[in-house]
Amino acid sequence: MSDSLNVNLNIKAEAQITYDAIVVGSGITGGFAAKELCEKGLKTLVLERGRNVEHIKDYTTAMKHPWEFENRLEITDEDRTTNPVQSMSYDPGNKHFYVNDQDHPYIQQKPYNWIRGYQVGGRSLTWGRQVYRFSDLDFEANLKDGHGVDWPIRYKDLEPWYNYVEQFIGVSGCADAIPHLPHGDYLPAMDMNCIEKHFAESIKKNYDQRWVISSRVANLTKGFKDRGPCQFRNLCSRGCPYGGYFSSNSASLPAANATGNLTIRPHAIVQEIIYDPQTKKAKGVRIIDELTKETMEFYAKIIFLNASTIATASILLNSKSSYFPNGFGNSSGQVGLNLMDHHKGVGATGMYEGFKDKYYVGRRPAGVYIPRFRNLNEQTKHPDFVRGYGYQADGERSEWPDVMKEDDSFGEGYKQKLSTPGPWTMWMGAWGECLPNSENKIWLDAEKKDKWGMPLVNVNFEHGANDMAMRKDAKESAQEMLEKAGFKNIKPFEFLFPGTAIHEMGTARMGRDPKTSVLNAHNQMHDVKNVFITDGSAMASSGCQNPSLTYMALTARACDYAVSELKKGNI
Amino acid sequence: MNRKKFIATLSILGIGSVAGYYGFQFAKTKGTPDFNFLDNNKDLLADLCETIIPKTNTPGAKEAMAHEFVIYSLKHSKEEALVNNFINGLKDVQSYSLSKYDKPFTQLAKNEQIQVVAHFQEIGKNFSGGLGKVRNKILGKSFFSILKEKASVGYCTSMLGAKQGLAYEYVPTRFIGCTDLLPGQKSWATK
Repeated sequence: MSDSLNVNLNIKAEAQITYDAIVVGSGITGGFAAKELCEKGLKTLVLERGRNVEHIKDYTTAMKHPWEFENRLEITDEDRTTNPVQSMSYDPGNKHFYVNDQDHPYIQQKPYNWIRGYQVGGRSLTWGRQVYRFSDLDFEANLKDGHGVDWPIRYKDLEPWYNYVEQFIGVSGCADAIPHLPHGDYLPAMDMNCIEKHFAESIKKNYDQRWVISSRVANLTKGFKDRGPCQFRNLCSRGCPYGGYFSSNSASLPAANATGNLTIRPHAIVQEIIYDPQTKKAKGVRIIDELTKETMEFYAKIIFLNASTIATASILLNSKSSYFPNGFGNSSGQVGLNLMDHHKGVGATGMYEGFKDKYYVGRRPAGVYIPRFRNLNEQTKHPDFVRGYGYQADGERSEWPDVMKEDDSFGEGYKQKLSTPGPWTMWMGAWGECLPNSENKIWLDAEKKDKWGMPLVNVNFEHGANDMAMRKDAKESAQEMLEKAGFKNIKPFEFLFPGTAIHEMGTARMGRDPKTSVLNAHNQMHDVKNVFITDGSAMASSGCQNPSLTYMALTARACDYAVSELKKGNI
Repeated sequence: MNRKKFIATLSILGIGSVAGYYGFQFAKTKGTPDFNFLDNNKDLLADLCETIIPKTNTPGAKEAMAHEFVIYSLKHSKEEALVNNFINGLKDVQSYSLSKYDKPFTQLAKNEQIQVVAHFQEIGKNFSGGLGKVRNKILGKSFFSILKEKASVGYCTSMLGAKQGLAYEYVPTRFIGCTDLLPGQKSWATK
């Protein structure tokens, strides 16, 4: 177990206002940028708009039993009313790591759930921890089918950085050889249970180029760098007192702090980036103190923007000057456009009659993964859509929450059923690629402001025809795969709440041409060379894999480049 | 039930009488819930929960204090119809017990309590097909289904329910994907 993070909190702003680097945001990429920059010797200021969350000490619910929550693990109607967006994702165990919708309004032009966590560590505390690499199937997709702009990098550019990041965060999983889902050197995979093994064997027997693998997750099946191992409690999103999974709080910020170069400034809402026309570089940032509402400025040689996709684009759009009338570094007009988010919530469930004498022990914080199998090549080309989807899946025996809904008896017999493992079931849901589309975008409202005087964000997002065609196939394919594996009572499901994948990306995309993109191949702004953006906004396409690993690999790579350029005197 | 059959059923029941009945029941789902009744009848609620999940060789719902969760949950619900259905249901249980057995529910023998709950289960049953949907939409969940659901959550997430009624491991420390199910082994309390 790692020690608590005693960060150097810069509460008195005037004490120090100039640093080598400023990182905006302390989530999964901000934390990683801070680690990289600090380790490379830069005095680094991390600006976080929310409160501090100290590893272990501030995981206030982590060791609570279900009966220690007044409403147990159910959200209340009050949650649904006052936090209609965030409560789609939280429960009483992790609610304190989500924002309050009343304090942080935004405008949904079409329904879009913008789920956020404003605190040190951001959403790295509550993330799903599934980590899959992109491959050239993803990096070449835009060029090949003409949607979006070509990625300025290929897999070989990112491969060493995937290795580098995985070796720091710790990933458990099967190193299965799947051409379009490259693997790294992993900790032992978590077990599949018997229904999942049965399903995996059936898929192997019935299909070419379809795999069922143990999830690759940033949970530690062995102790790793003084962290973990995972205790199989499946309570990750409350923060893990064992350091059993990777978060900024458990790993990257402590590593940054260990260098002596880190300063974290919580309650710092970045209002804008300050441009210096003399040097044609960013001079620093202006913040609003969340608590006192005072403004102050911090200065640095390089700035990393890691506020998360929508927030990063908002900061750029809010940083207007005579030099950048449409927003900072926005000569392309692309800032805020091409918002993407995986579509999910479509698939099927099934029940299996065998293995009645088998069960499992422990609560695995993961499941199994069925990597993309559509449009890999000519043989797997689908007539109705481009790109593809992967399934996350999970097998389990039905237990009391299922019995409660399905059984209509009461009394002793009912109690017996509640306490006896029921039939095996399998759930499989698709996470699908979302095409870049300039109509899906965010912009700042001209009139409405939040309580800090910051303009409200408008979000206009809708899944297009390609996404919808993919969903139809995902629903049908899930049923077919379950049927071939001998499942009964197969039920398709489909519900679509845009945003709830919490994989928003694309609003400051990388590209080769400054006229059509915001960032170059090193996540450096085309327009302003000392500003780097390495959160989800940099993504030129979404893939269908969970994206955080790619964001972190881009971050580590960009930090390496930025410091090298700084040392050469180029920025 | 297909559409034709649904219409036929409506005709048999008599559209007017169905509408009239629902109109009356609907009116009862409106208004500020009588939480005083809930607070003053904890024993009644505890015994009802116990009838759903009785003590056997492991504790029942009453000992596990499942009713305290039911009360908390209802008091924090903004679904007026659901809360009113439930509190009206409690009152109906009380008056039904008195009229049928001349005793309050809490003083009935176990098998009599089962009979009473079975009665409310029966009248709460959804009509199948379209009419059931109409009923649910207008009137909300029945007293019995609310009682059963909340008593079950209350019990299975309580300390006694999780640790003794089910199997609970606080910190499992390992995951074994496939083990033999031992005779009499209980299902896990948490996923």
